[in-house]
Amino acid sequence: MSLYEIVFLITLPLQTAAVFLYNKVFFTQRVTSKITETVAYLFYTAMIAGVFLTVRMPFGFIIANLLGIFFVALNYESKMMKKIMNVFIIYFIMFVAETVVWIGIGFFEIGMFEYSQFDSVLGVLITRVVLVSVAYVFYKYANNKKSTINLPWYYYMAHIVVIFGVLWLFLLSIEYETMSTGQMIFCCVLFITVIAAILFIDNMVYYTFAEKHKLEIIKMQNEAYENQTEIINQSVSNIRAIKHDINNHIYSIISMYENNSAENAREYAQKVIDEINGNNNISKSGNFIIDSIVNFKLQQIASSDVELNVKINVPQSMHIIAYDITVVLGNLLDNAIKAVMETKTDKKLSLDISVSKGNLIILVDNSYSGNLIINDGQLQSTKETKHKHGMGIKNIEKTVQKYGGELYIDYNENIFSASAIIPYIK
Amino acid sequence: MLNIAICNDDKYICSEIENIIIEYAKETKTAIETEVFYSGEELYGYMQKDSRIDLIFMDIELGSTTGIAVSQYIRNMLDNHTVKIVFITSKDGYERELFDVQPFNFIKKTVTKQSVSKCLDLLVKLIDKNKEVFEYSINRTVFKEDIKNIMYFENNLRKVKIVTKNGTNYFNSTLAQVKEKLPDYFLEPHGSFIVNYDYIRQIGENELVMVNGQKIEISRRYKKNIREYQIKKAREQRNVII
Repeated sequence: MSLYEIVFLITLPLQTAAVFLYNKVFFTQRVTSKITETVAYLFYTAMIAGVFLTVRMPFGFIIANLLGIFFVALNYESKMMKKIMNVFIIYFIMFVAETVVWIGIGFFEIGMFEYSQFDSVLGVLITRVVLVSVAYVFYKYANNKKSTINLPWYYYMAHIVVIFGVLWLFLLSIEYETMSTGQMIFCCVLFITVIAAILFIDNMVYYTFAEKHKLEIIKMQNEAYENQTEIINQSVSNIRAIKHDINNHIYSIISMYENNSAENAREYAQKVIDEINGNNNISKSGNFIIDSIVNFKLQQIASSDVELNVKINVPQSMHIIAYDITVVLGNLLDNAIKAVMETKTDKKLSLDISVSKGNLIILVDNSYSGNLIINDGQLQSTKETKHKHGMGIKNIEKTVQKYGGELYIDYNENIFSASAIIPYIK
Repeated sequence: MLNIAICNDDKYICSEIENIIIEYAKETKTAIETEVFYSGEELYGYMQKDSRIDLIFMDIELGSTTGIAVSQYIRNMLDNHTVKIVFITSKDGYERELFDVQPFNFIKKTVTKQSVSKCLDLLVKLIDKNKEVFEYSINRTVFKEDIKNIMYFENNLRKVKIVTKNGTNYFNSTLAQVKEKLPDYFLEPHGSFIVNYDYIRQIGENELVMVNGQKIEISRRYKKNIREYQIKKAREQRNVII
């Protein structure tokens, strides 16, 4: 067997890996067992190898690839149309990647490729590595879209720079014709190892991001717990204060009763009861997270001149994580409170949280001072913190869309309305 | 004629609500008939024989059977998904099962005229007396179906399939023609379906689940409409429109 054939067959698994990654991107559900799936991919590899060793016509490769990719796609759940479409998409991407590599090599006029014994070897090697790297980037990108982790743009930039930088250096390093077959193989193996190491390190970096994100969630949850504890403490202090004053209260009530003002006595007694029960809490739905956030955020305007209207009817727990509820509800309330505080007269804020057919619905209406700027479809306020305000809405949208929900915004001259609907039953 | 049921073991609250309803009927010139039940068993027994009730004011903390249990019976045993249930409660915090019976609204004790009237207003809006029966014909025979019993319509080749609580049938028509004869609360989650909102148990991201477990896909085109309808309903329920 020639060197070319050896390299072709050794790097063939890279191509299979690329197809595997693409399938992970396009399909969500595997309908066969892991073993069947693995066998399918082995079959694909064998099929390509078979064509290579026997017919070796470009036409044969095209057919083998299309059939092979389709056969493998049968392992996943989707409509037939989608499978067929994906076969062509995957093949097209692979085809483009290959073409770019060949053109790139020609463009950079790496002299040795014109008349070297190694050109096909390098070609197939580089093509395969580029193929699997592109597939990997697709895969990571698609995965990232599904999660809430916001990978900064320079993360992807760094990847592209590193991978293509290494590729370029590798090509430069083999300028000399005088390399032996052994040296060549060594260089190729080194090249593949370096790329693999890069991708491995990337995985570690990604997990670091994920851990950092998890810590932020825990931090948020702790804050929510702290808030609720604060409210409980307040309640306890209230009770202590009342116990302390209860003698005076009772004397007052008795004297009112003795003076034949029973109604006053009744009112007085009711006020004392209210204070004890903490009926002054704004949100008492029984849902720990929602009560916590609503009470914390709205307590500041409860005693102001804002006309507050709150109605919350929700189950005690839902399949939405605390962090996400905090992001959505917290941001909505922050925006509403800021806007309401800016209004001069007729300050109103209304919050309605309800549940409908497995969906959590949050409605926030507030009066505002009428100066809204819509910038690229992102809402921005008149204040200096324009940037922050715009981000708030984006965060809400991203969180809500994670569950397949939606955020709607509407406004007239006086009232600003935000409606969020979040499916919470999986 | 609206049929309202009040189910509460507290006789005082029962008469309070009844009085508010009578006042409401007078003020709005609506014909309302009220039935009072002091226990869940009584209500359930009545509904087994008579299913004309449109709305129930149900106390959650009922005597021996809780309001939730009675509601579950009505929904699951009697297979009645169209009667509206308004829960009256003094507690805060509801168990998850409570939301499975698709409550129409919640009223806190003490009951006020405003909270009861709000529910009646919403009910009146919902019930379109002109569209209570759906007629269709197969080979010159006319069939009538109570809209209350219709779960959904589906496009089936060239015919329309009508699925009710009692069975299925096929007739010649288009979904567009059918939609015109239906009240607002029949929604389209998909080009081939028109679904009765009351018979939807759950609306998920890409599909909805009917009360009998059947799943119907929500196509991307119609997702927005369904969402907006849910929000519209939620907005209507609010105590205050500011």
